[in-house]
Amino acid sequence: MLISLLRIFVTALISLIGLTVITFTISQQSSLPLHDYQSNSVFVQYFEYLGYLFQANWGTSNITGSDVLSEFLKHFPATLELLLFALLIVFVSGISLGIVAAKNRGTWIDNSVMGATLVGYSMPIFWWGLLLVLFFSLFLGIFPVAGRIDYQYYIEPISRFMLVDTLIGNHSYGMSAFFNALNHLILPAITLSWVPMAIMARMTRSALVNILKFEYIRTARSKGLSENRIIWAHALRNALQSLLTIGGLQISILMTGIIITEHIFAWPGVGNWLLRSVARQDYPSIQGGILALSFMVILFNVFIDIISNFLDPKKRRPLE
Amino acid sequence: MNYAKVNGLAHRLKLFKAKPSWQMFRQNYGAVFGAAVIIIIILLAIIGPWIAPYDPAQQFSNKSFQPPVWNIGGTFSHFLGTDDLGRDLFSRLLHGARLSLFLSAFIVFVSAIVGVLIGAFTAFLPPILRSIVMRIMDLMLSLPSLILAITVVAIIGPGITNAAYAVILVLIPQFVKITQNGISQELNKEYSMAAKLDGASQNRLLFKHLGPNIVPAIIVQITFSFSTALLDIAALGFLGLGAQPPIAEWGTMLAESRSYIQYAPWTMALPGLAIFLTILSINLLGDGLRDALDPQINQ
Repeated sequence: MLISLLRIFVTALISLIGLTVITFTISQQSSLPLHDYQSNSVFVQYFEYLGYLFQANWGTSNITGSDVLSEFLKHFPATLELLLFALLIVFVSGISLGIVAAKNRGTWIDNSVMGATLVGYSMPIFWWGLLLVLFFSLFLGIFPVAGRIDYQYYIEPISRFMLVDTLIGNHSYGMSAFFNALNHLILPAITLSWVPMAIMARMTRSALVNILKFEYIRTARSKGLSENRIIWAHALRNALQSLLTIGGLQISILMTGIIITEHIFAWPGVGNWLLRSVARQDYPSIQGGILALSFMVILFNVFIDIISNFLDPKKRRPLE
Repeated sequence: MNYAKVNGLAHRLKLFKAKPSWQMFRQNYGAVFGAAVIIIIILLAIIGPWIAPYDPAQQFSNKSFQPPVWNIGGTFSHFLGTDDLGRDLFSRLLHGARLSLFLSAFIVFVSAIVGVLIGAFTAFLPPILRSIVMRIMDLMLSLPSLILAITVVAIIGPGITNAAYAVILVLIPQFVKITQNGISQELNKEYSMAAKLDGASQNRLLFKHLGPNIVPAIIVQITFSFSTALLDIAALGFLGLGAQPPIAEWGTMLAESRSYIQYAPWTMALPGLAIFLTILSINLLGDGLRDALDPQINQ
């Protein structure tokens, strides 16, 4: 167990070294050096750069002049809010669709769910988002086109999570502000969760169908348990571990998706900030954005690795 | 009796009753549909310059936002309509197909060759070096592809050539991993041991014995990488980091159409549909190939 955990941390450490080398290279593109380096050698400068990162000094933007780390922290809650909401949709509807398909395997229900998910994971989300806007916002007019909340609401940023701020904040709009914010969240979340949800549904189905072939399921059936109980109590429980791992892998797809989604819906998050920085060659900000987003992905992978280590002893491999 | 004779004997005795790959593929209607659509799209891309009614950049300034022929006001002279500058959409889509398909093919070709070579080389390195190479590949794989591509574009600047470099880099690790894992796994199997004991040289072992067992997985990866390449190039174009206007590239066309989606929805619907249909057919084809060529992956 200990060795296995050590392996996970060594892997993460190598990833972090690789990542910081990449971001250091980006920061070198800037005409002004990111920090006051003492040394002239690039090799030593890299270590100085690491030191500055640890002191929470990620440099200042050469366009806006603002501190990169605080700029990131300002945009991050919007991204996290959208990400968590999308993750919720991925898990809840992905797993339910998979269960429905597995329960009715071989029937038209199964075929249509599988067909729909195949279409789902081939969908370019930048087109999907525009189609949703065209239909739901411009044609039906039930969801807003862009942004986090309508302009008539002024919500003081407290936690910077719009759903939380509209609830706990001191304002006179009542619940209407909260529902307005929720309304703004729905289309971006559907756009973002579409592809991972399709993958999740397919994976749930195939995991369940495999498990339903086992002897212990036959035993459960012969005991006279209902199909529902067999799926929920017996099959799903054993599928949960692989589903968690697959769900964890979706974070990478979500991270790609979130940049595109924020671009489509003018969502004031990290993705939009990163794209804006690339467009105006704001290298300190690009460096910070990529560092922070990738760091999150690595951290999340470590987290998933540790969990699956606890759940499945077979995953505990020795150091390579 | 050497192992090849045993193998041959087993085949003659029909110990392996696997269906031929082609038969399995043919029974998968989705895969056949995908193959058919992708062949049509490739043909359209090849003959594009000859069947396109206009130059993709030619502007008919008095004919901007003409709807497709099935809409009120549509004409046969621009049967898929025109965009904001009065450029013929059909001609632009054909040009986009050419660009997307050829560029993706080139990207996958380069990354497959580089990836397989690195993978094959890595498989024979001492364990510590191999571990380091594979950790670097893991890092590249764990980073979301678009973030990696943005990193590359941020360093070398936007544009379609640089976007292609970025996507090549994004696709390499998968090939390295598949080749390296494949070779390492196959080397531990009894038939490679038998071949080695039989006195086969390293090269003979690699090309004659291991090769045929690894190639199917690589072919399947090539198909899926092709759809990733196409999608990433379009996504970068859409985000303004790939092909720059006025190049007729599907993602860039989609980005240009954003301001007019209410007024001229076809300028958004058609390039998106082209991307979607191509990706869907490649994925269907890839699923079929995987089931037919490499049943183990599917399990």
